[in-house]
This record gives sequence, C-alpha cells and structure tokens, in this order.
Amino acid sequence: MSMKVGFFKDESQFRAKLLSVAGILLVPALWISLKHFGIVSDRYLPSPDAVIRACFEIQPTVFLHFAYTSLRLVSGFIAGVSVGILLGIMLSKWKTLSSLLSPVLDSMRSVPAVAIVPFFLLWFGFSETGKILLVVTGIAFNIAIATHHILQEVPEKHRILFNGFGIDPQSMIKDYSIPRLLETLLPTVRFSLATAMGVVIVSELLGSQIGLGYLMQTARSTFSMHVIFLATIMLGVLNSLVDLILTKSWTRVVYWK
Amino acid sequence: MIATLKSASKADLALKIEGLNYSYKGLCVFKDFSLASDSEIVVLRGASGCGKTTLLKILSGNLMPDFVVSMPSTKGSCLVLQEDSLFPWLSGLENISKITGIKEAQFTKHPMFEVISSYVNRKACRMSYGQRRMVELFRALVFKPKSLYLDEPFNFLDEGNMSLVVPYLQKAASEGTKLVLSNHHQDDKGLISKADIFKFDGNFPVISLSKIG
Repeated sequence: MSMKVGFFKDESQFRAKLLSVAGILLVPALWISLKHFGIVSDRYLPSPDAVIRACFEIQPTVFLHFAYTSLRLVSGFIAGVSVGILLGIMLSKWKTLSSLLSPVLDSMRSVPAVAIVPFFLLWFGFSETGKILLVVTGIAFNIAIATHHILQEVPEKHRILFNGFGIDPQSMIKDYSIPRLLETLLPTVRFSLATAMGVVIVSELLGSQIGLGYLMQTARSTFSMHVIFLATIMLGVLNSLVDLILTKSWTRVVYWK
Repeated sequence: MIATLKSASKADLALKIEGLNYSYKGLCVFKDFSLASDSEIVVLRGASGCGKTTLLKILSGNLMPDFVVSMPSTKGSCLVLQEDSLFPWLSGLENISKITGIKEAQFTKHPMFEVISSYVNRKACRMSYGQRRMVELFRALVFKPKSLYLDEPFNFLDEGNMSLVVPYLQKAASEGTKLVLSNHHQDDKGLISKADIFKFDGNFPVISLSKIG
C-alpha cells in the first residue's frame, strides 16, 4: 500500500492531502447539489453557471479587478512589513525612541485601519498611494511591536554567550537580530496578511474605480449576487495564493529551522 | 623568592567560595556553601538537577547569588552551556570569528583547529551535535578567557573526540585559564589528570561537596 503513494513521505501524509482536496471540493459540491435539486432560489444563492458566466461578462474583465487588488495587496503588504520591521529594529536600538513612541504605537495598533479610511480619502483621494499607505498604517505598527518584543527577549543561552564573550547583542544586527527575527516573526506576518487583505477591500469599497472591492460595491447596488459571489471566491483564491507563496518563501529563507 | 612567586600564582588559580547562599523559586539551593581548591582544573560531578549548572552560572556571573562572603571575580569569565549556542545560520568559521572577534587567519593557526577543520566551514545547522560541541569548545579555547566554565562539555562527544579535546583543555588550564567543568560521566578520572573532583550528593540545600580525587 505505502509503496504506491510515491512522493509523499508516508500513508498518513497521503491521507491528510487527500482529505484536504476533498475539503476543497466539498463546498462547490454542496453548492452545485443545492442548486441542482432546486432547493434554494437564485435570489438567495446564485447558480454556478451564472457565476462562471460573470467571469466573461463583466466589463472590464474580472481578471483586471483581480490584478489591481492583488497589486495593491502585495505592494502594501511588502511595504508595511518592511516599515514595521525597520521601525521595530529602531525601537530596540534606541531606548529613547521606544520610550517616546511606545504609548502612541500601543494605542495606534488597536485602532482598526478601516476607521481612518475617510482621512486617507481626504488626504490622498482615490490614488494608489493612499491605498498602499492605508495598508502600511494597518499592519506596520503591529509588526513593529512584535519585532521590538522579539528583539528585546534574548534567550538565556544567547545571553550567556554574549556575556561570556563580552558582546553587546545590539552590535550584531545583521548576524544575530535579523536572523532571529526572521525565525520567529512568521506567525505575526501571516496574521498581518489577513489584516492587509481586509484593509485593501475596505479602501476599494469606499473609494476606488477598479478592484474586487469596487466590483462588490457596484454589484451590491444592483443586487447582482453572482458577481459578489465571484468576487468573494477570487478573494479567497488570492489570499491562499499569497499566503502559500509567503510561507514557502519564508521557510526557504530560514532554511536552518 | 621563587617559592613566594609560585605560591602567589597558586593563590591566583585557586577556586575559593565562602558563604554562598542562593535560592531559586523558594528552593534553597546553596546555604552557607563553601568550596576550596587550588587545582588547575575543578570537576563538578553529580546527577542532573543537583545544582552543578546553577553553581557554574553563579561563578560566571550569569546568576546573582542572594548573599556571598567571597567568591572569585566574575570578570572575564566565559560559560559554555550544554545547550548548543552556535547560531545555526552562520558557518562554524563565522560563529568563531564573529563571537570572539579573532580573525580567521589568526585562529586557524591554533593547534586544535586541525581537529575541527573538516567541518568548520559548514553552516552550524548542517553539523552534528558532536561537531557543534567541538566548535564551541574550540571557540572558548581560542578566546582564552580568564576563567572558563564548561557545563557538561563531553555530552554528545564520542571517546575519540573526547580524548582529542581533553589535552587542549589541560593545556589551557596550565597556561593560566581557571577551568571548572561539570560532568556526569564517571570515566573522567583518567582523562583529566591534576583535577580536583567534587561530588554533589543531590540533597538540598547544598552546604559542601565531598572531594573525590
């Protein structure tokens, strides 16, 4: 039995993969059967073929909306993570700065970025800069605080090492702080991806001419359930895709773990 | 004249602790603890959890005693834990040069370098436990601290590696490094000559240690 599964390590891993695939197929299967047996009307749940048709009917094409949303998400996310890490490193390097900014950062991170969308619309209009900056504001503070926290907490074995050889850990940013940060920060970064996604969609809902959020907004006003459904599916796909790329490339960077 | 000089250097080497008190989370580990040895090498023996590591941490200045009458200065002391503390993202060479501040060209001349040369250029995460331990011991030896505290240095080392590293430890001790190490192996007597061996009996609080050899 176990010989047949080939490139999986063992049978239990194969079983887990099989179950995941089944799980992915379960939702569309349920959807199709609900529609097929006519249990739910189109007003409450759009039919699969209406959603597929919507892929080609919408002008401009839904893939363009998808591309805009992904570009905003990815660029805002990368900028936000970079700004957050940089800020966190600065906070750990300069005590004065951390004392000065800590209260502000702590209060800022609990304010949902969605709440300040009107300000960004006022300052930056419908521009792409505004949307990217909104994502940066939405995730950078959290990442900065997590970074600061990780860098403050030197594990005992490393503290003893630094003591014994008379080294200030702050002097080893490239050889110690950054690698240690990378090996512990991934969960926070993944969480930030979900936040970034939410911020992008809200900014598109409220002030945009293109993008999946904008598409949902216009579809909502005409009650086109199939378009909203399509946009939702695409958001799910986008999120899993970016998350997959993120975790795969991250584990490649921290190859020693 | 020579005799006084000799005794002065002896006194400098001696490990002398008097009236050490230390408790950890309500457990009194050391109570009016005293220890004296004028040997170049001191070996602490005993089962795990008997206070060996705690004593090494106190001596190396990584733990503050609650109260102590006298103990050696913690300045210039280096403790190597039994936990692996090489950075896995750096190579063995980088782990040595970046931590000790000694240039590669310099430390490769050390006679013990030959022992680790076949794997030291690898990333630490691609070395075995034993290899990492050897690199850590080498690093501590080239750094030449005033006092060197080694917690279970022979863990993960096979007989061969152990017999390779012991002469260098002895050499360092004879050159003036105060060497204290803990070891739960019973077979160190032949390996480390000229050492004072003290045994923890496993009871708390520890007041004194019985000297074996």
